Order: sequence, then C-alpha cells, then structure tokens
Amino acid sequence: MTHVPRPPAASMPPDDAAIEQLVRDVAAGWTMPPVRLDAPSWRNRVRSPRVRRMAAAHGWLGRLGQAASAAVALTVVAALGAILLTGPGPAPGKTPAPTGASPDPSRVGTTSVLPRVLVEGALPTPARLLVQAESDYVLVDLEKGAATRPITGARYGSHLRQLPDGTLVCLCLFEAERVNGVATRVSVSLDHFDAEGGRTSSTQIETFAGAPDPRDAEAAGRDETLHVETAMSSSDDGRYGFLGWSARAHPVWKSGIVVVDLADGTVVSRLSLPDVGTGEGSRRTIAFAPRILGSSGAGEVLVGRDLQDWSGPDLPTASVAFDNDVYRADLADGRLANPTLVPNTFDCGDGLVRGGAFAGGGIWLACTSDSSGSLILRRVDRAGRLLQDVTASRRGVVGGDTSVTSADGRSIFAWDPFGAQLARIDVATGEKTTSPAVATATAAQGPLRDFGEWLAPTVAAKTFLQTAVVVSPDGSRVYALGITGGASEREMSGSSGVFVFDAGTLEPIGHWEPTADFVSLAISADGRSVYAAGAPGFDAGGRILVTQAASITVFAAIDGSRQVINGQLGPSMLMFPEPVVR
Amino acid sequence: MEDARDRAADQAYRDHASDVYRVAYGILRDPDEALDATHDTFARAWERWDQYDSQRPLRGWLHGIVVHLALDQLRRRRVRRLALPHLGRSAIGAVGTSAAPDPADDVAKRQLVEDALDGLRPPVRATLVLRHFYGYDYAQIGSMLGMTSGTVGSTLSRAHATIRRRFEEREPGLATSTGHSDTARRAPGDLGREPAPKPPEVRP
Repeated sequence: MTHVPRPPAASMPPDDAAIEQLVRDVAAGWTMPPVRLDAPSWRNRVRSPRVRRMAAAHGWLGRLGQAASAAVALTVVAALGAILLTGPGPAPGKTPAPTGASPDPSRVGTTSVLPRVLVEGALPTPARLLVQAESDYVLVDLEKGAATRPITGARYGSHLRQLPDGTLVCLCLFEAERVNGVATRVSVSLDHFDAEGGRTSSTQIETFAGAPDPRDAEAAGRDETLHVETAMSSSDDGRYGFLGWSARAHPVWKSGIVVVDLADGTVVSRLSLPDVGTGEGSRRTIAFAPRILGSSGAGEVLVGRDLQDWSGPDLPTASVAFDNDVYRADLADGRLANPTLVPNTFDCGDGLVRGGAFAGGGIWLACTSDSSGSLILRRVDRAGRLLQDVTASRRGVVGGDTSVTSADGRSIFAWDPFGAQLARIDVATGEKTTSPAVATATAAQGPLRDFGEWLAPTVAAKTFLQTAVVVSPDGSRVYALGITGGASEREMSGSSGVFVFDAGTLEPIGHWEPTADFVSLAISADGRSVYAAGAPGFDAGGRILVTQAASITVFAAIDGSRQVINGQLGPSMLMFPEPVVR
Repeated sequence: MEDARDRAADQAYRDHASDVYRVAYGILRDPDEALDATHDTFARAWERWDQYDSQRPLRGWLHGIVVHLALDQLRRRRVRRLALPHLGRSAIGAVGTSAAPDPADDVAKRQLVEDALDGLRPPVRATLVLRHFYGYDYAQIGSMLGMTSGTVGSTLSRAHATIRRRFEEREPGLATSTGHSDTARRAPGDLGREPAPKPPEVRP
C-alpha cells in the first residue's frame, strides 16, 4: 500500500523542542550510502607518502607508474614556475597599462599543485610573517616555504600580534565554566611568545562571568543564547590591548572595555558602558562586546556595541533585528574614559565595521548589511544630527571585510569582488564615486547567469574573504581580490586575481592573474609587496585539487611580477590578520 | 609512525564516517558530493593527524574539517542542486523516534523540514545539525563555522522561525504574519530608546 504524505493536521506551529526533534529525525535519515569497493576512497587522496606506499604495494608496475606520474607532475610544476617567473611582464618601474580586460580563462587555475618554494630575486620584507590559520595562528617563513605549528592553542576570538622585535603577544581567551554547554565564565590571559612561537610567559588578566537568563530556566530543550562574550584588539603602536566584554546579569547586560598594557599585563583603565536590558516579555536582547571602531579626533575614539534582539522562540512569529550604539570616549596613554552616546547612530545595518571623524567634528560609521548585500556609510554631524546614509552595493553575499579606509582617512573604499567594481565614498560630503566595472574571467553574461540567479536566489554563493581590499601606505593605489562567478556547475567560482586601482581616479591600472584561489590580501609596510593567501584544496579557478595546500603568493607592487610562491603551507585556511604585514 | 597513523585513521573512518557524512549532507544536500566530502575529510585528517589533540573528542575535530570542506565546496558553485529539492536527492530517513498519532503526519512534517532546510543557507543548515543532532555548544559551532557564539544563537533562532513559517504556510489558518522574520527590523523603541530617524539615502 502506498502511503501518501499529507500536510500535518491543524495544530499550533511546532515549538522549539518540536523543531529540534524534527531536525534530529530528519538528520537521522541522512545515512551514508554503500561505498563501492572500486571507488576512490580517502586513502587514494592522501598525499605522497601514502600514495608511494600504496604504489609499492601494487608492485613494480605501480612504482614505475608512480615515478612517471611524479616526473610528469614535476615537469609541469617546473614549467609552470618558469612561465610564472620568466614570463614577460610590464617594464620595471612602470605601472601596467589599464586594460579592463578579462584575464585569459585558460590561465585561470592550474592543474598542478604549486611548488613548495619559488623565489625570484630578493625576498620581500617581511619574509617571515604572522598568519591566521583558521582559529589559531602560525608563522610562515617565505624563504623555506614552511609554516610553524599553531601557536596559541586558545579559543576562537583570541588576538595575537607581532611586536617590532619579532616576539608575539596574545590576548588569549579560554573557557572556564559552562552551563548547558554554553560558556558562562571565560578567562583572558596575556601570553608572550618568542619569535619562534614558543610561549615565554602567561599572565592572567581578567575573568568575565555571565548568567543564563532565569526566565528560560524551565524551557527544557531550549537553545541557550550566549551569556558572556569578548572582543579583542590592540592599539596601532602595540602598547595597549583593548579587551571588550559583555555579560548577562539579568535583567541587564553589563558591558565595558578593559585596557591592558601589553608589556606586562597591567590593567590601565576600565570603561563601563550603560547597561542594556535583556528584553521585555518574550523578547530577548543580546549586547555583544563593545569594540574600538576608530579615532574620532585627537585623544578620542569611537566605541561601538552591536545588539541583537529577537522574539522569544515560543512565539510563532519570531523575528530578529539588529541595532547598535556608539559612544565617543577619551583615550590618552591607555586611559579610556568618559563615554558619551552619539545620537542617531542606532540601527545602522547588521553590524558595525569601523568608524572615524571628518572635518567639522562629525563622525562616520561603516556598517554592513547582509540582508541588502551592501555597505552603509552613515554620517552624523558634530551636533548629533543625522546627515545621510550612503550605500555601496555588491553582487552576491560576501562574508568578511570588503571595505577599507583611505590612507588619509577621508574616504572609504567599498569593493564588490564579484562585479570587480570599486566605490569610494567621501566621509565628509557623502559623495560616492564608482570605478568602471572590470570584467572577470568567467563572469558569464549568458542566459544561464540570469537563470541561475533566479533559480537559486536564497543560496547565492557565500564567499569568505578576510581583508579583500587594501590601500598602499602612500595612499596612491588600492589592491583588491576578485571572485569569478560561474553561472553553471561547470563554471566554478574561483579567484579572478588581484585588481589594482588608482586611488585618486579609481581607474583600473592593473590586473594580476591568480596563482591560487585567493581568500586574503595584505600589503607590506613599505608598500613594495602585495601578499595573497590561497585556499587549500582548490586551484585558482576553483576546481577541486585536494593535493593543493594553502599558499601565499607575493607580488611586486610595482608591476605585479611574482616575487615568491609558497605552495605547500598545510591544510588550514590562511588569512592575514591585518591589512599591513610587518 | 606512519602505520600508527594509518591505523588510527582507519579506525576513525570506521567509527565516524557516518557522522561526517551526515554533516556533509546537511550542508551539501547531495549524496554524491557528501560522500566525496567525507572522503576528503578523512584524507585531510590523515594529513594533519599530528595536529589532532587527543584530549579532545575526535568526532568534533572531524566535524570541524568537514564543515570547512563542504562550505568551501559550496562556495565555488553558483547554481546548486539544493535549489531543486524535489529531484529525488533529499533522503527522507528512517522513521523518527518521536511519537505521532498518525505516521503520515510524521512523514509530512519531516518533509516540510527537509523542504525548509533546502531553503536555508548552508551554514545555517550546518548550525542546525551540529546543534540539534550532535549537541555541540555555541562556542564549538562558532569555531567550526567562523562565527561568534551570539551569531550561532541568532542563526538558530532565525532558522527555527523559518521552519515554523513553513508550517504556517502549509496551514494557512495558523499564519499570523506574512513578514519575513529573517530580515524584519526591530520595532522602534524595543531597546528602550528613540529610534533613529530614517536618513536620506543616496542611490547610485
């Protein structure tokens, strides 16, 4: 007898516990299908040692075939290296002529893994750099083409930076207690590491505790929201660490910033922000840890705090909303004090990114809006009057930061990685200027694109770029990572390389082919080298290449020639923690 | 040394392949691709075996790997089969454990959830499976997905609202709101402050 599913009988919408059970029931059915014995398994995908051993097990023919394969691969790698490093490029000292042309699709992507080390000429400065490796950090030696083991072993959200003498300092986050699997107490320590990444000291700084919402104590099976959160950063000169925190003490959230002397762990000052209610009735509000958004004048900074507010999960019409509040605060010699609420800074997109000041005493805020896929620049005058919201749109949904402040602080550059278009917004006037769009390699304009976007609007590509756009230290150029947008299964979304713009005219003045699927960009402090990190597991065109490890390619800023390729930096995704590597 | 690694990886595969596959499928919604991601996960695990902290659960470590691999894989696609939920790809699983007065209702409810999952973004699906099926806490899920604990919480809340709305749409009498809760803005004054006046917007 055929059992035809029919809609559920009339009843109340399922509560959270019921939804959780349904998800469990559904997921229980996602069972692994039988694996054919002749199908490639994970064993066939591991790299050379295992492959060699397997080849050996298959006899001398296997060994011969493996050796031949290796020889072919090495030949291809060598040829690729020769092409990359000796191919004709623009004359030294000259900026490539603006082309606006697409990169040759045939050159986008490689079918061979990148070599461990290729160096052309002198090494860039720095040649040893700190890189974020998923939730931890590693040191990469460009000369050797090797990365250290993860350094801190701390929780996601820790902040590690390199000091001028090469040593490292970390505001390291650890969980101390949990309730129902959610942290209620976290501790932060100041850890120092030598230049090789070995821990030399650890000083306990602070412990923060937040309590579960007592109104939810009897809601069996209900998802707990977070109870305590931190956000950490450090001053440009590396002297002070800013330890933002927020903790629930129903009926309010307590929030503040602790300023720490990074030399010895001394607490220099403590700033408290006004409490935020935990939400009335069935609503729940979360106050995230406050952060320093930027300078708003001599001896003054902007402090921002994101808020989320959602209806209780017992309501059938649960909704989520975003808000924020922003304060001016004095900052001198590590003493952060006197927070003053800035009017009309509420409700700016989904999250605050950065902020600053413009002539006349007004302030600006850059906010992201995932729902509209755009960056919003809000301007408020000295008296607190709202001046304007300026929006820079982008195609597709991109996680991470796709904006940057100009070197003189007068503009914000907003980058559209899919459309390869750069917008500049003057923070004083709100005037927006947009570059000509630069075509990308496989951004097909055919009917499949429209069809695809209509077909899958809710599952548009989610792409993560951490630091997608950087400005040269002299402020003359903008470098940005592009993404190809394939419109069909065969058109993978990969990297379209590095785009170079004149920061004054916004004219595209160069385009550098990708050597890998770039996910993060940085520039050297001297402005001579541009660093691009490539994702592991894929080639530049986005094609799966499981033997490709994470990589870093260093381009000479002057002409885009490759200075260094490190192609075997391990299996973790690498990202530059700061836009400038030192 | 290498033999020990092989043995450990083999054992890990035997013990956890189905758990890795489940998360991969939750993200990718395609059995073939989920299987592919599962094998890739164990290949990666073998390569980085020396990074595994044996004090921590192996399954969580493997889930961290498969989440990255599957999301990276999705990132590279513009049109996805998950947008076509009725092409026979969705696996309606074994009979659930929850008691229901009518098995047909149970099947229909799970189909509704499957459909709702198809419409969610992959990281949201991953969050649901990691939380509800495997019971990871927000911090663990956040570290796997590269988001804060708070974002994990709000992601779950929104996902529940979406699933709930799917039920309401199937049962019009229950529909009390036509708004999209995912993008609904906070009602003015909810946080005890005057809302900002809507500023003039400059359009390109």
